Amino acid sequence: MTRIRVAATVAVLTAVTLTGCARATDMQTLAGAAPAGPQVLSDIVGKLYGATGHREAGQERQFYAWQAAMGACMVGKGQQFGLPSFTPISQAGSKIGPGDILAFAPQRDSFGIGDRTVQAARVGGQDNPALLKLSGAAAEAWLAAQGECEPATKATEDLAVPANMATPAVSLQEELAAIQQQLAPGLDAAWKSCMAAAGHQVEDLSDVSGLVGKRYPPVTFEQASDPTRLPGWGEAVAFERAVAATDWQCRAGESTRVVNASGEKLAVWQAAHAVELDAVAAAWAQMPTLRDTAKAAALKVATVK
Amino acid sequence: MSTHPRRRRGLAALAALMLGVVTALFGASPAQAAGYIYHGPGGSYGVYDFSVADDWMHLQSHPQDMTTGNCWDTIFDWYRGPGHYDARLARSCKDWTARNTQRSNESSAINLVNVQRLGVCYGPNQYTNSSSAYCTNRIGTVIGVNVTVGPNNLCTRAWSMTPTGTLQFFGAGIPWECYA
Repeated sequence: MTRIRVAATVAVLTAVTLTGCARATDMQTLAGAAPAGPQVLSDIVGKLYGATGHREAGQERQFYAWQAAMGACMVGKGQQFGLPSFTPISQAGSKIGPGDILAFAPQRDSFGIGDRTVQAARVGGQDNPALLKLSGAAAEAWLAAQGECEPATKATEDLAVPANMATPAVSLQEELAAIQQQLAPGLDAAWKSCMAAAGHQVEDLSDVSGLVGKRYPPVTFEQASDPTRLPGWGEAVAFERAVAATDWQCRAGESTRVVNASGEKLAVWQAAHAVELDAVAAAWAQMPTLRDTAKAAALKVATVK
Repeated sequence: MSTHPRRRRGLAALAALMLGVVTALFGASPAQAAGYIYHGPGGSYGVYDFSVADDWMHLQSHPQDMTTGNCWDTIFDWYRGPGHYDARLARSCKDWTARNTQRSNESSAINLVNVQRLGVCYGPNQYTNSSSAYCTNRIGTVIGVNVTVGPNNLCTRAWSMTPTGTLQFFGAGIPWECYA
């Protein structure tokens, strides 16, 4: 250990004594040891993207806020309004890869596309219950009012995530892209060639979603159903898992190397955005309460139970 | 909102004229563009209109004389910067009834570097990315976009209308991701 590192270590220990706590990555940085890339990335993602329960609450909050806004306007126009079924989509198996940037995208067994479709299909019934009770001119009047009311929902469209998330998230994506460009400039092209060699013509991970999604038998969600009974479902599940395996095979070495080598750069970014990250994490923590508030408002405005 | 077919065609013609003026003014520059794409039965058409400077876009789907069980899509898919793509879709599954995104404000800025895919599709509900025969593309290949509409799609934000006429909005999870 050099003299500088000894001094830094003393400073860290003093800070820990005074404040009672210190983040591991802060300590490693100050002590001179390169912070572990996977740990720093995990710390950042944990704050910026919230816990799985928080993201699920965000989805539900947005749904009910949209319905409450629409319902209040419809009832104000003298129309009946009911709540369609909310379809909970579990985030339990999701793995965050900020911006779907290849070097930092996690290894996945699947992309969750089949699983989410099954969850959505088992609920079904997405029409408004009030509309289903109407016909003829009454239904036309209801639809006309609905069209007039839609602007009232516009402000609810982004409520699934904290409002203060976008700016640091975009900054993080830019940082990750810059790190990839510096440490693995050929990764995108090599991955694309590798995927093509395996028979998958894709430009990026967004394309993979389209590639896998269209392999599944279409499900309309109009009625509750079990799509796993559809012809071709099992083959689609196998295809999704095979594509996920190929994705990782095509970038495992580079992704692992880049993440492991990026600890110091990510720690610098983390320190520069510490206040923003804490604010986003606090906003995510509020999401279950905001969900409950939105749901209560939607239930209150509904006139068709 | 439903409107008489003949009146709708008249309104479409007027709107097309106005948009033609917009397009003439701004051209097809990446900063601002607008236009129509006709596809499918009965003069069905989609409208796209976006402004990068003001961070909004507006898509419209106008199905006319659809076969029952079919839907009509307008899709915009763009590259926002390092490793980052996004897609927006307006779908109507109710004949003679338009679905539009209104002006879609983009919370993380449009950041339009270039358009990957812009087009319209018509076909059986949820089938329109199963074959390019369902689509007319102005730019790129709409077939590559995941156009499944529902809470299960975390990649494409969608404004849709059911065959019965209920409006729906699906935010696609974290707006700038495909898997969260």
